Amino acid sequence: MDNTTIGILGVAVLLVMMVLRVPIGFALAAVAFVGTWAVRGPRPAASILQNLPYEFTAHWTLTAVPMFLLMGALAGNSGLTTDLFRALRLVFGRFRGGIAVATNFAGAGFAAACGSSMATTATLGRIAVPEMLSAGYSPALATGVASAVGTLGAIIPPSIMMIVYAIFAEVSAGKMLIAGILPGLLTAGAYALAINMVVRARPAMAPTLRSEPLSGAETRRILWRTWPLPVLSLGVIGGIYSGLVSPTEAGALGAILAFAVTALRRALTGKVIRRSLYETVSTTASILFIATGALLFTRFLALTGLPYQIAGMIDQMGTDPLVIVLGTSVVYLIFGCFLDPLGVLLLTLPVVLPIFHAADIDPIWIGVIIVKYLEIGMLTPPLGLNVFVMKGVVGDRVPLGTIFRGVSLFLVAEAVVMALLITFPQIVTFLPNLM
Amino acid sequence: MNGLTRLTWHMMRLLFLAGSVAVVLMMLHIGTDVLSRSIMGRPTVGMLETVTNYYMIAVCFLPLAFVQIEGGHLTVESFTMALPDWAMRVVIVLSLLVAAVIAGLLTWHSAVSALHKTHTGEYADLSVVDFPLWPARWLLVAGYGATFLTLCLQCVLGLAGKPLSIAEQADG
Repeated sequence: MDNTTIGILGVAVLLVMMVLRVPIGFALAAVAFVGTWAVRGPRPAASILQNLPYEFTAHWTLTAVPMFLLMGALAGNSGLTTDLFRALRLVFGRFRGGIAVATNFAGAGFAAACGSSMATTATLGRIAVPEMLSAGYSPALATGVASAVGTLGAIIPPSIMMIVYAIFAEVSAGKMLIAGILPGLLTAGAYALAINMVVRARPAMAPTLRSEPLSGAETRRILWRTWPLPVLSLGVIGGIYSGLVSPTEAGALGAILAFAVTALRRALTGKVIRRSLYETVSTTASILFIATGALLFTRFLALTGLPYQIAGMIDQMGTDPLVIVLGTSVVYLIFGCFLDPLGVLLLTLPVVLPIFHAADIDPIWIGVIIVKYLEIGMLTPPLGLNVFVMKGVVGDRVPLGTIFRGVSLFLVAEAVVMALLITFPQIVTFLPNLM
Repeated sequence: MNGLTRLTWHMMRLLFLAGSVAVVLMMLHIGTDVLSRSIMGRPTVGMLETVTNYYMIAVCFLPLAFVQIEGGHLTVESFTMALPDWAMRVVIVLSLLVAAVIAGLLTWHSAVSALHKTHTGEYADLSVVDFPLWPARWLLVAGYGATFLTLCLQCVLGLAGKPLSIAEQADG
């Protein structure tokens, strides 16, 4: 059996094992071990298990993952999102569709403290959706905006996915994080515009409120409570952008700052600390376990030469880079149907990275595009994870179909954003190129 | 069996807590280093080595067994959801067996490597001191080994037709 055949068989066996419920990290390691044995013999197979997991994990850039997770968990568990939403509702409440717009920007703002998409969705689902429903908003719009805006968590820095991508693609993690800023803001803007257009066309979806007038002191108090967010996000983003601190150090400082802020807001209870640490540790361990498996699998595939053959084939056909970029969207759409986004990312990178490399595609730009694809996958059926999180939060009040219908408005906005990002790569590359 | 599952649950939870402590230490240690660099103009000695070799390895590997108990390892469930109960049980026990074999291999090979590094006394040269790295290798062995034991226990529970959830049995 030649090496290419072993490579193809390896991929097939991996898929079968995953379908049969073998946890992905174990399946990746199993195929890598047996595959390496088949290609090179028992000693190399033993050697990858002996050294790679340790050498990969004891990696300075990767330590940014637990640090950013801790910062986001603390910010989320201490009620920062709730405060941000209240303040923005004050600002936008007067306009038609104002609570939806406030929800949108609260999500974008929280994304600047948190690297995860589902946490944002769950929080906004608990606080913003009931408020929109009682204000007479259409359930589709209310749940749609809160589900969709969660995806910004992985685009706007900090972002766990960007860090993981940067390590596998061997690009600067700092640049990768900064590259997400403009696309994230663009997406938030496009969402707000979409809300505005739809409530203008169909005013019944979002009745205007006669908001109870608040005293100036009350308004100031509510706005004041959001101070930690600019401090956290400007501290982290500013530190990385200026090059004063590495992403890991920014993450550690962010986590310390989040601890301090939570204490100052008198929210640092034992429960908040325990919950935040639990989320941080279990997420870190499960992400890194899959990442280690993916690394072993990458080495095995490289030994078979399969990725280079595919890349060479695509290169020989003289395929236009645009076709490759659009082609990958199909791949991610399919994988996104049954797998968590980070799993899809780690699973596909070993195969797609050599292809991008051969086609001379900017790794930072394509990284942002891939993360966008993955996040859009969190909104599309059958496995739109954010939509299911939202369904879990709202319970029987809103049927699943209605949430998917509400999300479709934002998918239209996403299509426009993606077209812009693909046509004008400068939106992605402008800021990192200045660094 | 009940005592054994309860013991496993408590032990794996202890390892998980050790991982939590490592996260906090990691944060404080990096913070101290940044502070020392900006105030005294020089970084602390051995921060990078401690953070990457000890804290990071502890955070990533010690909690693995508890994550397995809590069902936190990413699994594709959509294709097997509609299976009848008995078939589902067969699929789950088989997947546990595969995972156990791999965890066993990982434990064995990381132990071989750790033993080798212990004999040669692996260290990082920090110019002032030789910072020992070999003990960190054993954290990896502990994490994989605990996962292996947990998976074996779950396999036995599955084959004996008992409920698979160690967490529930530990509560009950």
